[in-house]
Amino acid sequence: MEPLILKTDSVLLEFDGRKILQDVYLECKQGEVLGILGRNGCGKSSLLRIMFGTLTPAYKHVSINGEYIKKGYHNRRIAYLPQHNYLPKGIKIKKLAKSIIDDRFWDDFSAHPVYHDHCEKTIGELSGGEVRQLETLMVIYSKADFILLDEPFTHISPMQAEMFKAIIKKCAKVKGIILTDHQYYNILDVSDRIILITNGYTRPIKHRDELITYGYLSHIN
Amino acid sequence: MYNTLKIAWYFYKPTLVWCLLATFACIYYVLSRQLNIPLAFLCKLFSYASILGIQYLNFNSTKTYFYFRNAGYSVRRLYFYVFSFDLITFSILLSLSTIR
Repeated sequence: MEPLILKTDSVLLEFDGRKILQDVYLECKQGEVLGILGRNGCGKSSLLRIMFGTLTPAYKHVSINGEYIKKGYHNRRIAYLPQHNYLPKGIKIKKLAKSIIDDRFWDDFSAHPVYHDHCEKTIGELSGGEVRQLETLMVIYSKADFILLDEPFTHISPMQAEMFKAIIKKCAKVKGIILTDHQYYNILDVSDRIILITNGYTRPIKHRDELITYGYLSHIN
Repeated sequence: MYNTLKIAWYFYKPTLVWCLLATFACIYYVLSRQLNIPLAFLCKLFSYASILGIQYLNFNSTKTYFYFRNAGYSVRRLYFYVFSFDLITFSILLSLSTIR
């Protein structure tokens, strides 16, 4: 089967007359990881929410294989990891997971210690770190064709970041994954392509040196 | 279908107490002749508006909407499902309790 291609084009997002995003073009096909970098407030999270369908800009064109997508989450086309906690309380983790995890990845997901050890509990019984870990895994392993991850490496240990990167790489064989984080080294490490958002524009990054040219980094380690 | 029912149930759970409270309060006032049936339905509809308001103001509730969206369902559609089910249940209970 041909890989699906998610395209986002001509996004215009304004807040109080200030243009946050004005000339955005990005595409991601199943089988690749696309990293988005940019300074605070440049519109990275907003762009992900626009693709997901929970933020309505003045204009946008989001499509999958040429088919216009109004709300990315309809029919599980796109899943999104927000920066905040999102799992409902009072329902067993096992029940929450079964409704959204992709059957192809169920064995991988269920073998993970954070699920395996706590599947009979509810979210309220887990620590903040465990909840975040579970939420991230549930989005990466979800049934959606495309996965959007907003700051998946924030508030987790380096060991966990390495684990997530391996999982992202594995799932990206059959899904398209778009992610953003301020931990640019993790993004550079896991991504097949990089897009930088600067002054509302998306710029494809061919060489890491360009991140210095565009003023995102002062130096690269 | 089964998955939709499960997801709708998870969505319904946090509002269940408020929905039941409104249902039993309306039935109680109808039985004690302080409300007529059309007014009871109006009160029930008003309770839905209040529940929506409470959910909207409760920031934690709106955060959980992302779980339901990731499951492929729009929040508007889920509210339609649960309020329709609740209204039908209310109508049946009201009919049964007013049969003489």
